[in-house]
Amino acid sequence: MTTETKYNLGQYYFGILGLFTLGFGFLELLFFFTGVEYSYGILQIPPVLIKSIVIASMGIFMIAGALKLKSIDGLALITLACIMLWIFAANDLFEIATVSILPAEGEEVVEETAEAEEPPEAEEPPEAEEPPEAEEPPEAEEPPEAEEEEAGWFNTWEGFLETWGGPYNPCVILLPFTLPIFLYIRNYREELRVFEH
Amino acid sequence: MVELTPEKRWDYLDRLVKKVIRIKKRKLSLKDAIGDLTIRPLTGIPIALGILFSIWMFFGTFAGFFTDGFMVPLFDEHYLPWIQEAFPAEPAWLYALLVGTPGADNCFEAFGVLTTGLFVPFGVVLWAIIPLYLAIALLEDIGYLPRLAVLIDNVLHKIGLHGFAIVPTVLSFGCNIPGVTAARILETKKERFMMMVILAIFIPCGAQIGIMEETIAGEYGDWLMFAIIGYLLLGYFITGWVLNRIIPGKSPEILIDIPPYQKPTWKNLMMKTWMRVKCFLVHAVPFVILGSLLVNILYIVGIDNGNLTLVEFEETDKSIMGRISMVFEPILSGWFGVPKETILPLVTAFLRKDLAIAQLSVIEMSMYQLFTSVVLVSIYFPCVATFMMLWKELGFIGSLKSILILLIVTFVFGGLLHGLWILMGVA
Repeated sequence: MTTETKYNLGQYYFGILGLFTLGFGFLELLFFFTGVEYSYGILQIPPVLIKSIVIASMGIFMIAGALKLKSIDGLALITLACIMLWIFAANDLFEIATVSILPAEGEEVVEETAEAEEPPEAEEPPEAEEPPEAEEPPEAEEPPEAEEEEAGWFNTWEGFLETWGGPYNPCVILLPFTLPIFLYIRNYREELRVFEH
Repeated sequence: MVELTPEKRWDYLDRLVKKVIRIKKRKLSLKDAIGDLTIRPLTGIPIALGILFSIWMFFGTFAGFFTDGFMVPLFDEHYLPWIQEAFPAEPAWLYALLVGTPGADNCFEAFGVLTTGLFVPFGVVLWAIIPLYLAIALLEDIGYLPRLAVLIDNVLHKIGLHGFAIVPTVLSFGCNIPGVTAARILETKKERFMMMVILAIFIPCGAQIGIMEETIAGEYGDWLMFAIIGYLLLGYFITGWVLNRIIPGKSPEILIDIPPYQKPTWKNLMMKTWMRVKCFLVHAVPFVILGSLLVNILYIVGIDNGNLTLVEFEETDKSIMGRISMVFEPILSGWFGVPKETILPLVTAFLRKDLAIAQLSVIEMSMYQLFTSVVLVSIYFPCVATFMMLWKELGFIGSLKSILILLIVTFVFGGLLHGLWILMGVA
């Protein structure tokens, strides 16, 4: 493949990647203002204001860089955008790693809320007068079981794998698609070497 | 001798450079191009935002993992019940001093030297400062901080400081002491004084931010923390602007060398982080323990007919702390709109701000009062270690001036918040 073709391909590739990045940034911004957390398949878009602004900016950098990829300014813009996405992705993966190690909180919360929801039902006047209220003690015995579950320091193997199963934030999903930038960086370095000699 | 204006001096330098330096045509390296992009406002500002936010994310995840995942269960479910059981209940004053409130179910609320006094530095703050110190060391080593200085130069010039003032400011987010020390680089006495004063007053240290993340953000969400830090930064700029107008002296330009971006080495990063963490363990932890001890003594000792007596835990009004609260109640409740119990964290804040925030978090108050209280704890006085450093750098007179400034600032910024809450109808 000639250098010219390589750069032309790169322009399209990073242009499209930039559009996706910009789109993810805008979606995050939109979800921030609507207060919704979107999740579909392995994609999850959390509503975070600053992050969304930065991701959208990186999308713009990428598009601007793709338009002049042959120049060092364009390559630098795309590289900078990719580095920022890698930093965000690394942070997201680090968060997943920490969550996967700790015991899952979800189950406990469900149990607690279930228990918390039960008393109001029991408080209904007709039942409240009935002696079978004594049925409550078995419920009261449940917390020790929950405590036993809470006592674990680490997640179960299934829980660990489940956490790594996704969903992932946009930067993690974009991460592998940013890797072709290394080809262009290597290419530029070779050109630079030729120029300097 | 002819005195040159700055413009003429620059012209002369340009001519000199043209005479003595031959510029060879060269192609920019990628590192140079990226370096340029990070100092241009259009591209540099989103990058700066992204980097600072990433540090925040890393800090939150790291601190949350160790504190909520391991330290809170360890201290609250194992250590606290054990020490409450094992420590002899009599004499009661010793129990109150070392273990704290009988029957407390978490280390934040126990307030004993061996409970809260150990939990705050080892259970919370340590895990918050490690990621912050690591991130600051990384920014220093890759060469990003001087670029941030160039980027923010225009903004800081408006308050009479040079862009390089961002370096002490960023360092202060780790700990105020290296921040104050780094302010030495500023050229004039005026700049150094201004920098040290606004740093010591408005920039919360890593330990304080860590405990805020655990308590305030844990209860109300990150937005409240951002709002508090935002208010403090607003104070930083407003006070800087005012000081620039009233303090005589010059704020000249300084030239700084921007090093090329470079790959950090793990060895350097680890060494820098360890040195700073060690400094925290050696210098700050004793103050946290001392703070817990002092506060508990003020709580269990009372004054009766001029004699010191021991008071029961339930009779705090008769204790020295209770008396101090009553004396300061008109100012605290009247001017600042916070509960009189806030005096306890304010006393502690002189020793350690992190411990003070932990104490604030268990006082019953509204979210708005909590906002004001945290701001007060942050600005009313620097911690003792920072104050000693200010004394060393500014001398006796300079320190007195700085105290006068911070008293005025505390009354203005604390009172302003109370006024704002009254206007909003929430006070």
